[in-house]
Amino acid sequence: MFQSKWTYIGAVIIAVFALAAIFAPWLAPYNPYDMRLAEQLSLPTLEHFMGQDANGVDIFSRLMHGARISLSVGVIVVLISGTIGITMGLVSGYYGGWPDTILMRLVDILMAFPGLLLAIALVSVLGPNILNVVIALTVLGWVSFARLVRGQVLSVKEREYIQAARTSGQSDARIMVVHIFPNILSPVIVQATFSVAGVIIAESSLSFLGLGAPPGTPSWGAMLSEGKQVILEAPHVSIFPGLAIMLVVMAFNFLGDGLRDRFDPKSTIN
Amino acid sequence: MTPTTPEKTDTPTPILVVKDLNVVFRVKHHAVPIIKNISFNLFPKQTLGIVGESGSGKSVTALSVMKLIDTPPLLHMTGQILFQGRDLMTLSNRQMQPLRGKELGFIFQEPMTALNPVLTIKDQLVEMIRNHLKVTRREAVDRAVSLLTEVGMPNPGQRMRNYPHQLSGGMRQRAMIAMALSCNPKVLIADEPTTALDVTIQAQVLELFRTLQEERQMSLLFISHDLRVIAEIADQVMVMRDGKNIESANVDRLFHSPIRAYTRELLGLIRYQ
Repeated sequence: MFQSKWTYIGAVIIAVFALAAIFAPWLAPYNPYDMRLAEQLSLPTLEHFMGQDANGVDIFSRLMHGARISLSVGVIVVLISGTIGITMGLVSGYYGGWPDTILMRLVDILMAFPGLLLAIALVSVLGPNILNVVIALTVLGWVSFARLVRGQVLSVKEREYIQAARTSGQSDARIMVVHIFPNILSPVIVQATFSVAGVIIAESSLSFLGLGAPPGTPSWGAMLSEGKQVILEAPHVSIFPGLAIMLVVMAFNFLGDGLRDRFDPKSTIN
Repeated sequence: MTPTTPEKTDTPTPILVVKDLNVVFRVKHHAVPIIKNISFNLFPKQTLGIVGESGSGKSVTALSVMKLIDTPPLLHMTGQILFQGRDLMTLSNRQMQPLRGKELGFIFQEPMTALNPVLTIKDQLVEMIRNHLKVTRREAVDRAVSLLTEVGMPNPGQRMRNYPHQLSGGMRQRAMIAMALSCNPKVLIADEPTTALDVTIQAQVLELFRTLQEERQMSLLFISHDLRVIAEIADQVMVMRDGKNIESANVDRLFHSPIRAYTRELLGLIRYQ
């Protein structure tokens, strides 16, 4: 009961952020690029209830627009890297042999790098923009899916119903898609949920370092970075984007935990 | 050992001929022969029962006919498996796929584990039908309902929407049989299909096999460790032990005047029970 309450809270927070992101152009009270230099760093007021940043832009409006970047990068990276990782894991686990060996060594190599450092290196080489952030995080992200799926496939492919599907003359591709994949979907969904949280943090970190969205774009990481310069005189400039990142990541983790408990009967014994 | 000779068949050409089948597994770097020179003939509309204790090679023989033994453990497989005159030994996995399920049906022992737990009976039947036959989804669903009716599934329309865990053991085995029959196979291979069922359901399922075989004019390769089940259903019997054919004969001859000591021993076990 307690678990499901937190799952529910997580889902609601995500829904609120998602709606804010989707409808930001209509819901945001101000233009996120509208500079009012005379009002720079002003504290929260009734009109600007999260205050204004160093350029006098309304922080609340910028956060709403920033949610579009954070959430869409999170979801897009997980969709692409999940698709790649699931395909790799299915093929590798199902066929075994040399494709499996090659793929798993590649996974080991990628896992050996500290993730964020590799992302920084990739984005520096490719050039700092959002598309390259997506590419870098995808290159890192598929690995965990491939490993998870491979392990699951190794266990599921030995079940008798897979043998039964083979005796009924179904092709390998069909067996993988129709018979194996639905059986391993639950852990994949849980992994995807946690991955979105991880990607949002990574994107914010890259933007914080100036490797994400171009300067001036409303992005949570970049807003934190801008706030850092004035943290002593105007802490609200960095507090609100920081809170937004924390809330969203926490919400995805709550949801992931809840889904894991729901899908995995072993973890709900107590 | 010589192949079984047909004693009460009207068509002399066997539909399935297995000749000198040898199957060798690799176990920890050693080559271990699992099946040793097995030969048998399966005639149209007849039932060949294969009987033997656990580990005698019955299931490996059945899977060899389907060419579904994984490498590893398989090291090599020699001999001939002629299905309607075509040697399955020479076919690739891809060439075997259209035969599996369509010409050669297969039923497993444990219907709980042989049905996919996350797909409904309908999904599994429709998947199977559409894999082999060019029919629309609607036609496949209709066919699935009539198959379930044919195998005596109560409320087939409603049961179709169930997942395997929602069905009783007997119903699951009926669903498995429906799947195996869905593309009208000429040969049905049943590997201990009644072993996991309790005795009353076992009798019903055996009766179902007899009816279906008669209606559909199929050949049946029926594997069991239980001689009583074999006595009920088989025309010809092959007794296996340690991968070898101990004795093959017509069912009446085998039960009334067994030649080999091992066969007599097996028969003795039934009488004492």
